[in-house]
Amino acid sequence: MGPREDVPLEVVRRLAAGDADALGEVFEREGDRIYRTVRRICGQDADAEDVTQDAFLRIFAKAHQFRGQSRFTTWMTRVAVSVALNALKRSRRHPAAPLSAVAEPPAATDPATDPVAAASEQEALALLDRLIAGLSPKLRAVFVLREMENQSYEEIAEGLGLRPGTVMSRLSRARRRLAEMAGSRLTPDSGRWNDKKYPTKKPPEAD
Amino acid sequence: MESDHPVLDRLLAQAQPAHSAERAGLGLANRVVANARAAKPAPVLATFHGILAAAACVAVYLGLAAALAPAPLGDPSMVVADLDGRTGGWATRGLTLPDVGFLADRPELLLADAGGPR
Repeated sequence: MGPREDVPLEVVRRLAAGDADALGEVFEREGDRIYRTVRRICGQDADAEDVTQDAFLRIFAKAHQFRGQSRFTTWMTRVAVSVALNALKRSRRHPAAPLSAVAEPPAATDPATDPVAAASEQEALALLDRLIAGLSPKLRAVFVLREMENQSYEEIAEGLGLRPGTVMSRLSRARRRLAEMAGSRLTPDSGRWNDKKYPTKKPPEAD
Repeated sequence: MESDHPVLDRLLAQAQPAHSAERAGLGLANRVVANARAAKPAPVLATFHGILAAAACVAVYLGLAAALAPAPLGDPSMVVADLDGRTGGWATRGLTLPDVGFLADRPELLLADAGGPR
């Protein structure tokens, strides 16, 4: 995947001048990406649309501070991740729902009769969300940006204000932790995945 | 190259299409733009607000300073004359140190209102 096209400078200038229509244009280009990033980081702990909205309002309010030292999309990611991590912190202080009630994957079809349908892409994502929820916020942000949004180490480092080595180290820790959790919860089934409550094969060896 | 965590990578590969297909709600863009219009004035105006705020702070500071400072000397000659009538001298009674400094630099005021040199 090549680098994404950045937001045009003319749009950034209008945004910095307080043009709300420019924010609409930026949202049209980057809204879904920011929404996905926020959703993966916050999981079920916060309303991803509300957090996305907060992120864009922050981007709007701070756009005049953008100095052009990075791509605008990278700067946006930095703002959005910061808003998402703050939302996560707030929600943990005031949890809206008991943990046992959140992040359940969609109801699975009995794999004994339909193992493929029991592990759809949606279910895989829901299962991944459950695993990501077990990571610390710092590890989550790096993992989501690298593994879900395919950003480069340099871009993540710039976006999060970290050194590339720190990004690599956090990614490695996140992957190890997720692999441990995945190994204990999931079992492969013809290249797809079922929750361990429907085991069809012996669980894979731990990494 | 073989992955260190094949279980995780296979799960990621399977989840990726669903992740990439996720979209923000249809009304969210409009909500964001409407709230942006309502929430923030243009930066130029915001800068102007900043200047106003700074001016207000200075005004409040000056006001407080004036209210809390010792009573101003006002017309030095009147103060000195009054002091002179009640005490028979103009020495520092009722005057703050800055007042004394002020008058010390202007002996002509004292001399004029106290009826000349003693």
